[in-house]
Amino acid sequence: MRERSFFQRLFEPPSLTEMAPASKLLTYAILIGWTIVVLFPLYWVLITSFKLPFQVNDGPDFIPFIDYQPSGHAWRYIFVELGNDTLRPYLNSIIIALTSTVLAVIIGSLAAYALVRIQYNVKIGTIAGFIVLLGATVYSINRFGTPWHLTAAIALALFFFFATSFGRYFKRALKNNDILFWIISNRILPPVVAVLPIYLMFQRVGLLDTHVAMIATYMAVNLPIVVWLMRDFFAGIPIDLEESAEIDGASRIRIFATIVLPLARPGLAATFLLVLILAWNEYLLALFISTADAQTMPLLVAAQNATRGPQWWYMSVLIVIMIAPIVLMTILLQKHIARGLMVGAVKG
Amino acid sequence: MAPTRTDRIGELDPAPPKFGLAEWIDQQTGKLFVLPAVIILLTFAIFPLLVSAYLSLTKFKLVAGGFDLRYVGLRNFKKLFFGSQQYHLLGTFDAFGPFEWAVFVTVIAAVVFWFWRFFTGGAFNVAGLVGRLISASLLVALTWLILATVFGGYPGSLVVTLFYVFVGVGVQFCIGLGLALLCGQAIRGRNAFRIIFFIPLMVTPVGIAYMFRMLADMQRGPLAYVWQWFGLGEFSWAADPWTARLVVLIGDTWQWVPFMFIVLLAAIENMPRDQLEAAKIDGAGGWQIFRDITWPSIAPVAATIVLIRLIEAFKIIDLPNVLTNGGPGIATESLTLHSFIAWRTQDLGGSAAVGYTLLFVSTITCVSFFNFIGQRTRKTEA
Amino acid sequence: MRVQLKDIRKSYGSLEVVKGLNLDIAEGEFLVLLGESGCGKSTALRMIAGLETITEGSLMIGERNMTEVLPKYRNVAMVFQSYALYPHMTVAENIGYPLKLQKTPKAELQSAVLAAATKVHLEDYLERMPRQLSGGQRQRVALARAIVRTPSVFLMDEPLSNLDAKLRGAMRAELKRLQAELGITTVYVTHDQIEAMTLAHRVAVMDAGVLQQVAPPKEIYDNPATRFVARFIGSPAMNIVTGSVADGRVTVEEGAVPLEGYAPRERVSFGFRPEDCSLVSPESGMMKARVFSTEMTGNETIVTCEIGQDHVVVREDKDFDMKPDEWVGIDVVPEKARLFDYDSGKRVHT
Repeated sequence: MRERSFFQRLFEPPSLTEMAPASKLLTYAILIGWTIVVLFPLYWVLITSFKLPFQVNDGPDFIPFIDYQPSGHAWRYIFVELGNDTLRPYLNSIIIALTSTVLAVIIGSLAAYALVRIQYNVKIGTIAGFIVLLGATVYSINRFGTPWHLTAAIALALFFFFATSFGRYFKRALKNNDILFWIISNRILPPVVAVLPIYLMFQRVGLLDTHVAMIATYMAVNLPIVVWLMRDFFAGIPIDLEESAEIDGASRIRIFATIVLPLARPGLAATFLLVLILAWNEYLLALFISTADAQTMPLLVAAQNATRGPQWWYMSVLIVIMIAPIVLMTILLQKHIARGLMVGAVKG
Repeated sequence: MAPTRTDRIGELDPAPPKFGLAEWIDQQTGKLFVLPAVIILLTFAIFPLLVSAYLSLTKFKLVAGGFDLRYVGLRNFKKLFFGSQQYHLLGTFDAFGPFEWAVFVTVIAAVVFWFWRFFTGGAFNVAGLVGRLISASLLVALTWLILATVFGGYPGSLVVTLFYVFVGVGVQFCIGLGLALLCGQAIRGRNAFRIIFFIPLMVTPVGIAYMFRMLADMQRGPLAYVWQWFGLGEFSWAADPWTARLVVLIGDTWQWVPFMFIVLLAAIENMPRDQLEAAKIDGAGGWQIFRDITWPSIAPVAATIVLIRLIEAFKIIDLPNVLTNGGPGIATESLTLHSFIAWRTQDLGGSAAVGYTLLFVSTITCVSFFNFIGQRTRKTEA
Repeated sequence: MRVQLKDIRKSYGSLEVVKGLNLDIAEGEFLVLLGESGCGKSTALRMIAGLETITEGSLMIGERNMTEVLPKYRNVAMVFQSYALYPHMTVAENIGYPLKLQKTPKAELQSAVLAAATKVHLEDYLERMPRQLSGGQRQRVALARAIVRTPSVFLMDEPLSNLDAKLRGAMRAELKRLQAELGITTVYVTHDQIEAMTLAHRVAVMDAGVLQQVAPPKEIYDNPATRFVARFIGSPAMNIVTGSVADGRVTVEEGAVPLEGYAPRERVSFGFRPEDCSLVSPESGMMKARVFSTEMTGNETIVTCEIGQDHVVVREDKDFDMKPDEWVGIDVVPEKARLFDYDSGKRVHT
C-alpha cells in the first residue's frame, strides 16, 4: 500500500462507500447550518412566549434564565383572562380539522379504491345532466325561495332518474383515468375562484360561519389529495388477495373493509396526517366562510395583527399552541408521511 | 347473453344466489364508491367555477334583504387590464431600455427557435400547435410585463405572484436538492436530519408570517446586533418593496424546502445502488455521477414535485397578508390577496375577475410545465 | 362435481386469448391445464372461477349453468400462485375467512378450521401470522383455506411454482394424496410438465389459446397429438428431425429410418424420444451425426448430436465417452417413432 500525503488523505475518499474527511466536514457543516435555520425561529417563538413586554422591547435576549427571567404571564393571559376567546377557536380548529379530514379520507379512499379496481364508463350526458340540475336547483332556491333541503332532495331524485333512464343514450364516456385526472386536477383550481360562490351558497342556505360549512368546504378541497395519494396505496395491494376473497364469497364492501383498508393502513395514516395538517393550517377559506362562531386558529393568530400590534409575547403563545400538537404528531409519524409523499410523487 | 339457470338443484349444489337488497347494493358498489366524491367536487369545485365565471361578468350590489347582480360583460376585466385597476394587477409600466429590449428579443428568439424545432421535428400535430401557441403567447406576454414593470416601473399583483412562484419554487428546489444530495451520502444521523428538516412543513403559514416578522425586526429581533453592526439598525425592510417581498419569499422558502428535501431524499435513497457503485469503480467524479446517474433517475420525481409546488405556490396568500399586509402599498400583494381585498370592498365582480386571471395563468403555466418539461423527464427514464 | 366448458372463448378487444375451449371434467377428476406462459391456461381457470367474464360459450358446474354467475355463488375454491394469504390475519383467521363470510356459527367454524389445518399438518401454527411462516407452510395455509368449506371444485393457479425444487416434490405428493382423499374435482394450471405428469388424471395441453390434446399422462407421453405436445412433454424433449416419407422409410439429411405403413410425404417432422434411440458406429447407424456436446448427469449421459441443421438428443449410460465433433451413427426403435405433418404439426398416422 502506497503512502498517502496529508492532502490526499483529506480530499480522497478512503473507500468506495466512505467519504473524504474534508467533504464529510463540509457536509456536516451545511446540514447543521440548515438545522439551525430550521430550529432557531421555533426556538425564538418559544422563548418569546415566556418573555415580559419590556424584555422583548429592550432588545434581543437569547437564553432564558441567563439573559432574562422567563415568565408565564402571556400564557396566563391567553388561557385565563382571554379564556374562551382562545379555547373556542382552538376547539373549532380541532373539530373542523378532524371531522373534515376523516370525511375526506373516507370518501376519497372509496373513490380512489373504486377507480383502481372497477372499470368505469361514465356517459358525458350524465355529467351534463347533473350540472343542469344543479343549476336549476340553485336558481329555484334563489328565485323562488324554496327550502334548500327539499330542493336538493328533489334534484337528487331527478338526477338518479335521469342517469338511469335517458343518461344511457349519450355515447361519449369517461374512463377511469379521465375521472382520476379530473378529480386530481381540481387541486389546480385556486381556492379564491371557488370560494366566492361557496360563500354565496352558504349565505343563501344560512350556513355561513358554521362548522358544517367549514367541514364541507375543507373536505371538498382536500378530497383530490386523498384520491391522488390513496390510489397508489390501493394499487400496491396484490389483486390476488381481493380475488381470493371474492371467490370465497365476500362482497365489494366487505373486501374493502376487511382486506383492503387494513392493508392500506400505512397509507391511510400518511394521508390522514397530511390532510389534517392542511386543514389545521388552512387560512384563505376560513377567512371567507367563518367570521366569529366557527373561527379557527389561523384566523385568531392572524387577527392579532390588527388588535394587538406587535405584542409578540401573546402571539408567540398562540403560535406555540397551534404548531405544537402538529409538530409532535408529525415527528412521531414522520416515517409514514415521508413514504406517503414519496409514493405520490414517484408515481404521480 | 342472458344467464340461463337450470332450476334442478342437486344435494351438493351450493345455495342459489339470493337477490335482495344486499345483493343490489353489492352490484352498485362501483357507483356508490365514487359518487360521493364526484358529487362533492361538482358542488364545491365545478359549480363554483361556473358561478365565478358569471360573477366576473357582473356588478355586485348589496340591496335590502340580499344582493343584486347586474351583467356588465367584460367590464371587470377591462378595468383590471386597461382601466383604473391596471396598476394593481399588472403594475405601472416603464419604457423599455436597451437591457429590456435585449432580454425581450432573446425570449422571442427562443420561442421562434422552439417553434422551428417543432415544425421540423416531424411530430407535428394541430393539438400540439395550439398548445404551444397558448404557452408561447403567455410566456411572451408575461416576459413583456415583467420587463416593463420590474425594472423602472412598479409591478402589480400578477408580477409579484410570478416572483413568489418562480423565484420561490426555484430557490426551494435548489436548496432542497442540495440538502437531499448531502443527506443522501453515507453519513450518520440522516434520520435525525430528516425529522428536523421536515418540521417547517407543519407550521401554520400564518404562524410563519409572525415568526419571520419577529426575526426580521431590525431593533428587537435576534439579528439586531448584526444589523446594527452593518449600520442598518434604523432601516425598515417593511417600507421597501423589494425587501418586503424578499422577507415573504424567505418565509415561504423556509416552509417549503422540507417538501422538496423529503421527496428528493427518498428518491435518492431509492436509486439503484449498483449503478452508483459501477460508476464509482469506473472512476466517475462527483459531478459526473450527479449528471449521468443521480439526475436522470430522480428527474421524474423532481418534475412532479416542482409541478405540485407550482400549483400550490400560485395560491399564496397567508404569508403576504399577515407578514406585510400586502404592503408597502401593494408591493407584496399576491393575486389571491388582491382578489380577497377586492371582495372585502364589496367588489365581487372584480374579485372573481382577479381569481379568473389567476386561474388562467396558473393553469396554463402548470399544464405547459407538465407537457413540455415534465413529460420529457419521463421519456429519459425509459 | 362435473365441470363442462363448452366452446369457451375470451377476447380482450380484438385479441383472442382463449379460442374455443372444450373440456368435460368428470367428478373427482384431477385435470391439469398445461402450457407455456401466455397460452391462455390461467385465463381459462379464471373464467371457471368467475374472475374473468366469459366472452362466448358456456360453463356448467354440476347441473348449473355458471356462465354469468358471480364468483361468490359458484362455490369454487382457488389457490393462487402467490397464495393470497391475508397478511393481517392469523393462520386460523385466514383459513376460517370463507366460513366467516358464510356466517358459520363460531363453534362449527373453529372445528372446521382445526380439521382443515390438521389435514395439512398446520394445527400447531394456527395463531401465527403468515409472514412468520415458511414458503411451504404458507402454501399449506392456502390449501387449508381452499378445503375448509368443501367446494364443488378446486382451482389451482401454479400453486407450487413459488417453492424451491425439493419442497415442490414433497408438496406434489401431498397434494395428490389430499385430492384423492377428498375426491373433489380439481383444475390445476401449470407450466411444469413434471407436475402435470405426476399429478393429473388427465392433462390438457394448451398452446396459443388452443387446446392441443386432453389425455392421461401416459397417453400424452406416448401418443402426442401434435408436434407441440411432443416437444412440450418429456425432458429432454422429443427429437424432431425434418425429412420425407417414401417407400416405407423416412429419409433425413444423413440417412434413413425404415418405417412401414405411412403414405408418402414430401416433408414431415420425424420425432423420437431420447430413450428410444441409441448411438452406434457411424458406418452401421441408420443416421449419421456429429457429436455436439455431452452432459453427464450422474446416472446417465445426455448426448447432443447434429444431423444437418437439427439437434438430436440421445440418452446414453453414464460411462459414455466421446469427444465433440466425432462422427457417430444413430439407431431409432421404429415402433416408438412418431410422424407429424410438417406444416400443421398434427400427428400423421399409418
